[in-house]
Amino acid sequence: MDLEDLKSDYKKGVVENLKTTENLNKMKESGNHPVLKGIKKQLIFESIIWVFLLVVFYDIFDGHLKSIVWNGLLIVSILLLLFHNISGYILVKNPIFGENIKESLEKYLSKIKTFSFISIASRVFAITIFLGFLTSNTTWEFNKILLFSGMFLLTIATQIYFLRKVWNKRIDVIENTLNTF
Amino acid sequence: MSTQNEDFLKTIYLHQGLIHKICNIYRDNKEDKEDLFQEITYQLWKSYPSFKGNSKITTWMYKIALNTAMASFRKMKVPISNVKELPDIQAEINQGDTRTEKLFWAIRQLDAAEKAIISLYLDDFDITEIATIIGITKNHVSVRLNRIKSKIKTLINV
Repeated sequence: MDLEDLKSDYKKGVVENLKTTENLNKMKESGNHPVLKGIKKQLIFESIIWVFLLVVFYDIFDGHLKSIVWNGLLIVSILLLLFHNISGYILVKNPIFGENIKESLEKYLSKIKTFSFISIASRVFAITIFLGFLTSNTTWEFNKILLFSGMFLLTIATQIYFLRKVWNKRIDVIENTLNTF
Repeated sequence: MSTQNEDFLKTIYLHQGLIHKICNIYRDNKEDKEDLFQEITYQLWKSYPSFKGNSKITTWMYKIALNTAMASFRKMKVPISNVKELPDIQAEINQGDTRTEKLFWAIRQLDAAEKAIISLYLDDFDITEIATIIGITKNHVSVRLNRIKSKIKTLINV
């Protein structure tokens, strides 16, 4: 069988489920996008938690007893997490950047790598600030320092481990694809 | 409905076979194919205002569709062993009943770039067009194309 003969077979294709214009009209909306829908739900849930924290932290965590610097830093770190959530959604929503497919994938990979670094850094920053805020009035003793350091390192290590796992998986997908060019 | 929206829907409806082919090549199961179809339609709609008609509509569609197929992340799924899946797997092993299904099965065995090159070639794009869309040299396309043809012939004749 010659490959030229297969051109007509390819052109026919295997159409399992022909779409109507009504179907296509629904499909072009981001609200119906299969992956974005899931990410959107997760981001909304997380964002609600951050906004809630932003509203109540002053009363719940005795903000009036902490210095203005710690209060300010906590607000900045929460805003950073919110900004990070929104920019992550925008990044996944727009995977096409270049004049051709290879260039587009290279640019996308570079953006994902930068974003994964920002993602991990902003989480570590937020946790550090949050723990610093909570313990800013503590009278430090050796045992307390040990306990706090252990908790701090464990929290940071766990966050870095899981975030890197998620991002490395995404980076690997694009890198493996680019390696085939 | 705006004129742009109507034009877009007419165009995609007319050329939806192209999207179905990309979905068939880059995804293995029905659910993933449906998801990819939706993602491609969404990306085409987003890029539609920037399409000025300088190239063929199918060139533009292929570029966006292939790019989306290669860059999109699939939904996270828990791997489960399910008896209902067996007939599909068996069908895949049998490489399809018709010659067309057999061809698509063979293309699915190729790597991501090879899939893009052969799909454009089988849809009558010339070497220059393929090189421009993919972003590699014409010489590279010719070399890869020869290898892909051999691979497909071997796969189909097994």
